[in-house]
Amino acid sequence: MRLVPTSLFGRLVLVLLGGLLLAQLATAYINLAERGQLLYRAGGMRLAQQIADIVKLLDALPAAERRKIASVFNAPPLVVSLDRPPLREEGTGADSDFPRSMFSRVLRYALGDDAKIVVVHATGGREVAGAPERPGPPWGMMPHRMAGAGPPGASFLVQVALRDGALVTFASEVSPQESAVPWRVALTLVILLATVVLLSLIAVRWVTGPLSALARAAEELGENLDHPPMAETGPAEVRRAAKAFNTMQQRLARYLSDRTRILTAMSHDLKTPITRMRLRAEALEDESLRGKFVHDLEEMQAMVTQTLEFMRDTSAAEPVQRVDLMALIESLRTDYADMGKNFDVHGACAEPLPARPLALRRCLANLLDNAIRYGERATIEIEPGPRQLVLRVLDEGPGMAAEELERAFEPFFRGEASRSRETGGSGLGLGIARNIARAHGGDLTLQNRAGRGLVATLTLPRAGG
Amino acid sequence: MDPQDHVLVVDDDAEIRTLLCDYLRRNGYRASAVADGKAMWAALARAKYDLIVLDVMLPGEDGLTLCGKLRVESDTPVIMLTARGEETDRIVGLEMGADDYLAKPFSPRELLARIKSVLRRYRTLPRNLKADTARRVRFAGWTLDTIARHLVSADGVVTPLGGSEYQLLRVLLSHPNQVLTRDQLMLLTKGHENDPLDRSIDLQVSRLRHRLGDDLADPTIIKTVRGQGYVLSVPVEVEH
Repeated sequence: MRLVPTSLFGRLVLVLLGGLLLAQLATAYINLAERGQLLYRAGGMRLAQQIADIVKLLDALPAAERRKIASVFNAPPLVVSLDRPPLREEGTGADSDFPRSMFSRVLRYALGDDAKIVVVHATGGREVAGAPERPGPPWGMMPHRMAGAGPPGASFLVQVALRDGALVTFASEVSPQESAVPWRVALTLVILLATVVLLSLIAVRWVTGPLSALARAAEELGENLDHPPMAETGPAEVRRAAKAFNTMQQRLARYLSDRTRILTAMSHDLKTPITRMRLRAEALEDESLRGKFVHDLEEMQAMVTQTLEFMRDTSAAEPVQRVDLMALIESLRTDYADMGKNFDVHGACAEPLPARPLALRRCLANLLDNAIRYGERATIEIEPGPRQLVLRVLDEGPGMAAEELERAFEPFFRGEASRSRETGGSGLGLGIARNIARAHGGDLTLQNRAGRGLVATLTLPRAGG
Repeated sequence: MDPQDHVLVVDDDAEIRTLLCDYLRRNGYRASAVADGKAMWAALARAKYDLIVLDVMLPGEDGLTLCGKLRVESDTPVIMLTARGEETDRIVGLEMGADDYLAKPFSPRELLARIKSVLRRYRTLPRNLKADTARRVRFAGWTLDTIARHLVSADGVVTPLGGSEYQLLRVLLSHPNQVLTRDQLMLLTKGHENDPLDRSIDLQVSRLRHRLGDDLADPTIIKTVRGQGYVLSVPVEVEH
């Protein structure tokens, strides 16, 4: 599976969604972190106040009574102990350790600047290692529990030196449940994301819609230059593209029609001189000279006629109808028999074929003419497939050089076999036949047969034009 | 051939006029030529012509219009010279009442043969003054499209016809319920008389029956009249 979708629609959705998701996550992270800090600060403040109060109280008591009072305060989440060895000050990693420095600052504020205070993270390895030295019930439990809880309920060990030098140690954590992500925030996020996904889908569809229309128009242009112009509506960029496309189509059509007009006019104008020459040739006394003149003139005439046929728009003039293909081939056989030419037919197609009957007839006639002219014997093979019909015109002639097979469709191309022999033909027949095949949504190709001869393969779709 | 047959050539190209007249004269016809419709009417008022060779592309009124007007008052045979040779052009030409058409550039010998056959047809057969302007002819569930020259079945499937099959069917359809001899059919479709040994009309009729789905053993559309010829024995409906 590819990671990047192939369609522009897919890509835009991916980029938009990915970006939005990233932005949302970043925002959520920042919001939560800020919220966490606020909670810490509030929670820490209360805790520092509590610790300060206890310290003041213990300070005022004689050493013997401290233990009794301390045990009263010793209740989770705050553990008070008088037996802890001195803690070592942690390196002040300033920014990264915002909660701790904040906490110690608050504590210092409550107890006064000259108080000896050490605040360390209870999760630090040092602290956990130090715990088993005095396995009193609260102490045995506290570091373990706190280490297990871990962030976000970050916990601290606070050690304060009393006035007489005794150390009192507090273990506490900022209540973790307070900093959990509330479901309300999560729901808001989900709704926001869903809305954004939906809207971006609509927006992207909106943007890529005209692109698909443009692609469709370009495809249709390939088949028909006189296709109606695109609607110049929608956003400015789309309107501009549609307008540019329509202008291009107009220019192409004008260019093509100019060329067509020139060639058509030339071919038409040649008719009159050819007619005159044919009449003049008839006045020649020399029989063999007259024959040669007539032959040349007939060739010129064939070129003119075929050129006009080639130039004529085969697709526009004739409507697509359901055609009995076998009757069409039969009618060709009758006409060819009348001219003393014959061909065989193998296979059949009972279903009518959607086609332009006159154009299709011309296409087949051109293929048969070639097969009979160069290939001695012509055979039609019909193979009706489920989606398309394949019709082959086979001959038993010399075939063509491999590199000539495609060039044979170019206007006025004459193959080696055609040039060296007195076969006539205009060099447009195959081009006309292929134009007709393609206007039907099919195609026409040439191949050499395995043994001897050439096969022209005509494919025609069986449904739709 | 009657050496006195007089042919009028109407063409705007001066050289073709001269060349064509010379050619026709060399081949035993009297020939005159004019350049356009106005001159044609003048010539027709002065003399009687046996046949008119009429170019479609003419300055002023074109050949098709002239042919249509000519048919209103005269049955002089007309051979049209069409410039395009496209299907519609030649069909319109025939519809306007032309007896035959020939695409330019034509073979002079072919023109000579056509002139000969049109004159013979004109003299042998009683002709209908009215031009045959049928666009579609309906009969026995079929529709003959005279422009595309193919049959369309009752359910809209196009059934193409060979050239000779079309000609034969067209002749039969324009003479419904009228017995036509093999000679007449030959003359009307091919322009020459039947060789007594030639069975090609019989062959064409049987092919046409097959095409129309007519029962070959007991035909109902094209019936055989023993010893006489053939008759189209279904109602014909013509659409112009």
